[in-house]
Amino acid sequence: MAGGNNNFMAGVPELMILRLLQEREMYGYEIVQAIRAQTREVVRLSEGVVYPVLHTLEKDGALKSQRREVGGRSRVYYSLTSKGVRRLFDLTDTWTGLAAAIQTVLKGGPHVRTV
Amino acid sequence: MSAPFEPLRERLLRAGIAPRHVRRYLRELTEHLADLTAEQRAAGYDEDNAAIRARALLGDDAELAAAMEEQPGFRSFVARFPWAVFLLAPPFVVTLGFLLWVTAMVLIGFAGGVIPTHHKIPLPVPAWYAATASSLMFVGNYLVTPLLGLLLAWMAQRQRMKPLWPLLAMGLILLLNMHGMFEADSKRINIGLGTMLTYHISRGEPFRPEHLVNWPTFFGQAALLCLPIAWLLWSRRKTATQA
Repeated sequence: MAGGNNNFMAGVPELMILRLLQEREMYGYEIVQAIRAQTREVVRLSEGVVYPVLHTLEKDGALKSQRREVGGRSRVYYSLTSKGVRRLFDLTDTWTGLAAAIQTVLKGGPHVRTV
Repeated sequence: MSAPFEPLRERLLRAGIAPRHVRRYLRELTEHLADLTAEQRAAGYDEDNAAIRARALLGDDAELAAAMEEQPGFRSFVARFPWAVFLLAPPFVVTLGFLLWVTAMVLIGFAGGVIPTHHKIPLPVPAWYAATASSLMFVGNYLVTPLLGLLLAWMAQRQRMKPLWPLLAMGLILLLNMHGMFEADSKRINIGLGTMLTYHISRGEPFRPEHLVNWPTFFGQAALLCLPIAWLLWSRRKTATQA
């Protein structure tokens, strides 16, 4: 993933993948294009790195995959499982809380002055 | 299909990623690369430039390998526990093979009426039974051992393990066979503690070559184990050349 500190970006691809797949099933290339488009290229992936994340999510039971022939091309479509939905909610809560906390710090919230 | 990713394949296998995960990863990368190349061509780049740009967008080998290596659970059992596969499993398999052989001989003996179930009068061992025992011994000594060696060599090559591991395993098999060769005493029926055929592993004293049970068998097995070793070294050389 380009354009950011890896520690801060850890978990971001997982969250975005789960969110995108909540809407519809997709194959790897589609997922990367959707991330590119929806983040207006703020989050730029070396595109191949999405697959280990997908495979891990599938191994954990958050996703399921199915190989299909579409337009003469064989593609692996990924879709969200109920376990994946729960994981998405958990991650969303975590990230929402974290983003709010960072915003507070950036705006100079009260807890900053107590340091 | 995944020729552009051969160096990545080697890198992942050497890092201990299970071959099935590597295969799947490379297949999906190949498909993704095809989509990216088509996208670049559609954007107006010629064939060569489209391919170069697509490969750059996909990520370099270091990034792609790191992404896989960072994920937990993709390393193979052989890569995580080579000592278990190459040092613990061979003695277990050899012992299990011996037990299966004994079981087979006893079952055949009962089925063929060679081993009496009720009366306790020693019976002469029929020729067919002796021939069956000899055949199974031959299979155990000259087929199972090299097949086990070949399996170990194949596992090592598949995961690009250091050749030292299968070499150690084969040395261990030979050492075991040196001190415990399959031998059947099928000339008599033991009626001392019940009705049973007597089978035993003939033992030589450790590291005393003059006590070896059967030199021809030992050298025969050693010669046969050279085949998987030769195959492993040839495969390794071929892989290095291709990379």
